[in-house]
Amino acid sequence: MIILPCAEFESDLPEDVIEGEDDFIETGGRSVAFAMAEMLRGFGCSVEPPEYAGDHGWELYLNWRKRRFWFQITLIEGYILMTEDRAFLSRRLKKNRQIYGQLLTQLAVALDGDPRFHNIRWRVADDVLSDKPGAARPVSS
Amino acid sequence: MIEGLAAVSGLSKAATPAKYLAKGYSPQLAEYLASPNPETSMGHHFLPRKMVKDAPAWLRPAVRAVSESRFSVLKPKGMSRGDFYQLHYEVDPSYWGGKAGKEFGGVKWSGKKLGWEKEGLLGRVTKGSPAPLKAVVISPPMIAAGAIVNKPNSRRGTP
Repeated sequence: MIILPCAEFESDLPEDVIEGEDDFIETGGRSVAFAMAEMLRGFGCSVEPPEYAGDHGWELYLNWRKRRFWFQITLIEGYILMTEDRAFLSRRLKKNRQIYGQLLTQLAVALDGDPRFHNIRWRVADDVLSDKPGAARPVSS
Repeated sequence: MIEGLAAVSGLSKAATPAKYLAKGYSPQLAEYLASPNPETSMGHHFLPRKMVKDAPAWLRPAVRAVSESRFSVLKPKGMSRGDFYQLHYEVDPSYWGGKAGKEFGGVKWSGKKLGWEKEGLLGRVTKGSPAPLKAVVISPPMIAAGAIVNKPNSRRGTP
C-alpha cells in the first residue's frame, strides 16, 4: 500500500491574508483550515481548533480511531496539504498504515465532493510543487 | 565562539537585490528577498511545534518552553529575508515558500522553484540548530577531546 501524504489543490474560499506594516499578520489559509476541520469532524475525527503556524500556514491536530494526526495547510499559488501520523514507531505497523490510508481516502472523497475545492492532486512530499501530475487518490495498492 | 558557530552554520549578513537578480529572480522578488528578515518572524523551530502536542498534557508547558527557547528557535539577527527563507526551506521539511507583501507586488515564491534543495537529516541538524544549542551540545565533547589530546605525559614529567 502506497500512501501519498501530501496534496495540492485550489479553493474558492477566501485566502484570508492579513498584512501588517512590515510582515504578514496571517499568511493565508484560515478559511480552508477551518473548512477542512469541519470536513474531518464530519466523518468522526476529533479536531482541535486550527492553529496559526506563521510561515507554515495553519495546523490541524486531530484524532481518529485512536490515532493522532497532524495536518498543515500552506497557501502559496494554491494550497499545499501535508499530513502525518504522529506516532513515531507504531505508524509503521500495517494496521495503522491502513487507518492512515482510510483517513486520507475519506478526506479525498470529501474534498472531491465539495464544490469549494478543485484540482486536488495527491503526492509524496518530494513531488510537492513539481511538474509531476500527482494522483487522484492518496492511497494505491 | 557563538560567531564562530554562526560562521560554521553558513549564516550571512544582509544581502542586496543584485545577489538575487544574478540568479534570474524577478526585480520585485529580488527586492523582497534582499530586505531584512523582520524581527516578528517566528523563525525555524528545531524542536517542531507539533512535538508540543505529542507530549503528555502535564509535560506540554515544559516542552513548549523548550521549543520556543533560543536553544530551539533559529532566527539569526541581521539576515535578509532571502537568506533566512532559504535556510528555513533547506532545514525544514514542512516549509515551502510564501508570498511577498503588497509593497513588493505580492509575488508568490516557492523554494523548489527557486532551485533550493532540502537538506538530509545531518544537514537539518547541523544547519538547522541554533548557535546556543550547538554550544551546549558540541562544545563539551570538543573540550573533553581537547583535554584528552593535550593531557601531559606524566612519565616524561612537565612538558
